[in-house]
Amino acid sequence: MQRSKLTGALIAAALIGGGVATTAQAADTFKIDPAHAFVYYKTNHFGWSNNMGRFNKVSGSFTIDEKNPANSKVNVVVDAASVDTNHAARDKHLRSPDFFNTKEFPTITFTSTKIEKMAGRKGRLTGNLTLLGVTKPVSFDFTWNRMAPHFRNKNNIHTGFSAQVTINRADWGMKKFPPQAIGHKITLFLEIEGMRKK
Amino acid sequence: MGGGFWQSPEVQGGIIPFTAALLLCLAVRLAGGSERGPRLAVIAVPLGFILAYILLEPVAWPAVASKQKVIYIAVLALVIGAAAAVRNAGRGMALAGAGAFAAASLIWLAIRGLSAGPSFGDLATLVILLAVSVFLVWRLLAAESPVLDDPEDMRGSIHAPAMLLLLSFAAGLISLAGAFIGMAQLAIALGAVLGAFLLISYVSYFRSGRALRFGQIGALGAGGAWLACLYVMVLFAGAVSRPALAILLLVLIADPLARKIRFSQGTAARIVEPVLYGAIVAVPAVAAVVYGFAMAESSSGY
Repeated sequence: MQRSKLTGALIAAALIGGGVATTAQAADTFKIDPAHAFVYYKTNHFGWSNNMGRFNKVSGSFTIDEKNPANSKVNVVVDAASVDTNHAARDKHLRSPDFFNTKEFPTITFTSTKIEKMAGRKGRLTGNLTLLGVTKPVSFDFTWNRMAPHFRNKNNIHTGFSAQVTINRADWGMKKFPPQAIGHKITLFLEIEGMRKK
Repeated sequence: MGGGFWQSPEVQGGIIPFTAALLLCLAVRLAGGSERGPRLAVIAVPLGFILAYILLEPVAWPAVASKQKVIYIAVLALVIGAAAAVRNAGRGMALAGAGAFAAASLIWLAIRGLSAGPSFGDLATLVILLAVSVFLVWRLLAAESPVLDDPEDMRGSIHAPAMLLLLSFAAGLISLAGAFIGMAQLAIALGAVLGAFLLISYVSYFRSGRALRFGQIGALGAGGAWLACLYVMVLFAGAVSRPALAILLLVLIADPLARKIRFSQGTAARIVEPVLYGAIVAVPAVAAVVYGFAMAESSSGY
């Protein structure tokens, strides 16, 4: 089981995604807005600098039950082939079986199993992260941001999360290149927004 | 890439497997005596590849990703090759074994896609790879057939490993052009162990006119290791040029043409013929590599 530090929240966006969970009566389900879903990662490059990349295609949903947070759920899907580091050759390599192996494993998914409310708008989200066909539990600390109607269309309720987590890619079998060269510690930054109809 | 000399891919994927195969080949040749030694020494090739895999890639069980399955497919190939050698299987049995090996390996590799409902293109690719597998083993065995007809003429025993060496290095370079470095290292490592075997075989042939046998262990065991690399490249590495790999297969067509170059027996023939053979068979391999790099996106280092 991996516990990672977070500085923000959002389980869903970060890695994975998929499906809509069933919720309790008081729960609201938000569909992730792809135009406002930002999933970035950072890893060390020979100690010279940090490589940054992002996934351009994120989808999924999250359900928030304010009265009973334990009923809240998150499902996220990331299109692995949408990895983008602003360098065509590196992106090609990242999609190869050396890294994300996108032809064999086209999606990275996360499905929550437990949510615990902490102080204020913070919480801890535990779930199964499936990457390269390997499923392992991951725990995020997250912060739930503001929830309010859109200023142009009051019928659309928006909310979002910020999150940051560090994982070890080797735990999911992504071991190509030693950590001194391409870091095995990957920090993920998630800024996710979702919307539901009033 | 950090980690010191012994951790460098050139050492783990080249020098160590080459040296290990060289020593194992010599050891088996000497321990086996004049009758069995030349027939069994080829086992150094598939074993050398397996060693290279252990050095270059993490051995995982259960094997989830296709690259993790390569070592087990290579072991299966070695077992089938060894069984065929022990039973002194004829050409038909060997080809049947190749077909069974290919079918089992491809199904295992593609199981995820097959379970989800493959497209016609996916199925066609699998059928083509199965046909290529049988064709490869057939050509490797056929390249040695003059040896079977005339046991005193061992020139044929150099042709099969030479073909597979070219196929290995070329496939590795094509994979490199397609940004699949892991498989490039494995394919080139296979070329390195074949080089070790060929070195000893050529020296033996030059000195005595008798090369080492490639046989069923070579065709199925070493050929199967190459096929394992090919399968993963074709099925899962979208950036590796399939047309380049198709051109590469022309090596198997060039072989019977190159073998027609025959000189009279003698020292000069033993020196010149293998070199000429290699030069002719290398033409499609070089063309395939050039095409693979020409089709790859140009890139500066990152």
